[in-house]
Amino acid sequence: MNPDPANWTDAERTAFYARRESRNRALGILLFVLVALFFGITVVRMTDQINAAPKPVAAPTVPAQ
Amino acid sequence: MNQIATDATTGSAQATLFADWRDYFALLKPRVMTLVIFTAACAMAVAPGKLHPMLAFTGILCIAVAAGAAGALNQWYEADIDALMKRTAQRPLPAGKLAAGEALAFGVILGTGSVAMIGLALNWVAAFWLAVSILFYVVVYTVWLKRRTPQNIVIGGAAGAFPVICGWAAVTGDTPLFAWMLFGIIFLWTPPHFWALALFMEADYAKAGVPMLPVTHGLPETRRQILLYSCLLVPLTIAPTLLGMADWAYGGTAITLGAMFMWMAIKVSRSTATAPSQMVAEKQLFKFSLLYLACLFGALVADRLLLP
Repeated sequence: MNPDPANWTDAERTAFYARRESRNRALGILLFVLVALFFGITVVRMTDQINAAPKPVAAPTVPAQ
Repeated sequence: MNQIATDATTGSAQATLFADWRDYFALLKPRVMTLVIFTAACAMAVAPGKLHPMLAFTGILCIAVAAGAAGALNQWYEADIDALMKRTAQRPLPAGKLAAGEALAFGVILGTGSVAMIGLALNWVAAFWLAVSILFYVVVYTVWLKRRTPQNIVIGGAAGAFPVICGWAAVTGDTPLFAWMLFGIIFLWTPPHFWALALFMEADYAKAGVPMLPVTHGLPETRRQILLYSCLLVPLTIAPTLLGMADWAYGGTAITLGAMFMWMAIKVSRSTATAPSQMVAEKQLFKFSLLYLACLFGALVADRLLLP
């Protein structure tokens, strides 16, 4: 492939755009998956911590006189 | 876009086109990753304790990505010898699909990212062993040993064995004797597996100047070493059962598969073939060794999870 984009043929330009598009799409999917993964991990870890926290003890109720 | 540059010193071909995502994926050595994922997942399944499926998935993903990062850094460093070998000449760097700097940055980002992520999501013991596994593969095996000693595969085999330690540590946060036994199994399995391949790829390694055992010590010595390591491997695979760490379902599988492995190793040791096309026993052992490890770890998981 010609090193100078100004000298590219139409076929070279099309191939370049196709490859750039496929790479950007893959990157977009990857970022989306990472966001979903971090969200999932946060939910799981927070749920674990909430479950592990000591439960508040209810104060004994005094019967009305 | 990739800079077009002929690199005569590294042997890399020119970077010819804007890299496709497949080129980056190929840098991760997906075939090697499958084995790493499988053994790490088995270690996670066998380790005592429970892990939320989301965290287990994250752990396996981090281990797989770290293995891929190590593979990318390995390809970055070895682009010159990859260009000389038929088996590796079509990899993204020697084929000119990616620039060296891109591969280096890709490997470093994935490596640090996977270590940080497993540390934050699971625990820092697993993160430590994951970092060790990447550094061992890149620094000890690729940079230091591979081009210097015929024992490269023996010591470098540890790099392929660390994922089981990471997998185990991800679940329990420690690395007991059983985890190190699994490590030992992969460590001792690596030399017979790779030397079987090296026997029929000897010409390729010689051309690239890689001091693999068949190149430096000849075919008969390599066959003797394959038998020696097989003799060490098979008893270690049976040891978990003898020590009461696994049941006889695994033990029976280990004995049966071990007998087959030994039989093939003996066939290789008796072989006198010199031409790759005549090396039937060597190719048989190489293929069987992959099945052997998969069945062995599969049996261990079945033994722990399926049987009462």
